[in-house]
Amino acid sequence: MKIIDSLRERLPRLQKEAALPPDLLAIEARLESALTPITPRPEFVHSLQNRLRQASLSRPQQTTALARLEMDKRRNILLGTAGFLGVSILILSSFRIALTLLGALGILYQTNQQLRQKKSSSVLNSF
Amino acid sequence: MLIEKSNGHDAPDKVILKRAAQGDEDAFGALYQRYVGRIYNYVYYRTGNQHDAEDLTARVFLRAMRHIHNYQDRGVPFSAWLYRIAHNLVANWHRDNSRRQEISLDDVYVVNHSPEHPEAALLQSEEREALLEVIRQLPPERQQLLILKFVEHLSNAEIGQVMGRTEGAIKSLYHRTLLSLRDKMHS
Repeated sequence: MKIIDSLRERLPRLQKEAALPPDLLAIEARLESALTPITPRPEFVHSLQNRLRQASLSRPQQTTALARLEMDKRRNILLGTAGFLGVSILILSSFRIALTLLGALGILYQTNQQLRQKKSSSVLNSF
Repeated sequence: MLIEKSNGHDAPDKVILKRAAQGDEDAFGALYQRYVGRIYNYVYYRTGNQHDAEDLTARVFLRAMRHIHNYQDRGVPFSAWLYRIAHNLVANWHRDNSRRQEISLDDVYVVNHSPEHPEAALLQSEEREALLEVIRQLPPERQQLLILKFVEHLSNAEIGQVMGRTEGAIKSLYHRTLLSLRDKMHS
């Protein structure tokens, strides 16, 4: 039954192939006989398997080295961010101190002015 | 699907791939055993000699092992990924070796040379050599199509999956390849 089913599946393909002109069918036949599967040398297959095994064994070391690099990178990014934030806070604090000082100076100036005005008005009243 | 089928006693590709991507050495070994022959055949017919075929096959699997954790299942068979690596390496190889490599008859023709008719066998070998030479003059995608069809015996749908094309596109490409071969052989 399986053979019949597979033939039924292949029938449309075979019909189309049969529809090919004879010269193309001849080329197809030549290709069929020229392109045959080649078996790789067993020694090659075995030695490559060993190479792959050795390469896979050396992979964890590469992974840890990569992980270390990744950690260093993260640490540098963290340090950079912390530095940037520190400098920003320092600048903002300096700005705020300057503003506070200016405000204090302003209040002193205003108090001084008010005292002068009071003095002058008391002098005028005494006359 | 034929490409995804196991060798019989092994698990399907997807299961092995998952394990291999997690660093399971044996899982990658199983994939290697399953595909080394196919990749070797592909590279062999694209390069034309055993030495380079072995070298490039080794590179394909070493590269695959290095990048297996990056492999993403996008509905195409694992073999398509391997063939893609092989295709790129062969393309680089052709670029680096502009000189034409000659195929050693001893290397290629593992055919049944009948000792009774050495002349006939030699004639057959020469005909095959001429045909392979014409095939190697085809664009890479057409060579790939012929190798997958005649060496790997894949259907048009399966070749389409490997080459990232529709079945119809493969049929059309195959027909054009035959016509191109005919023209080259006649000229």
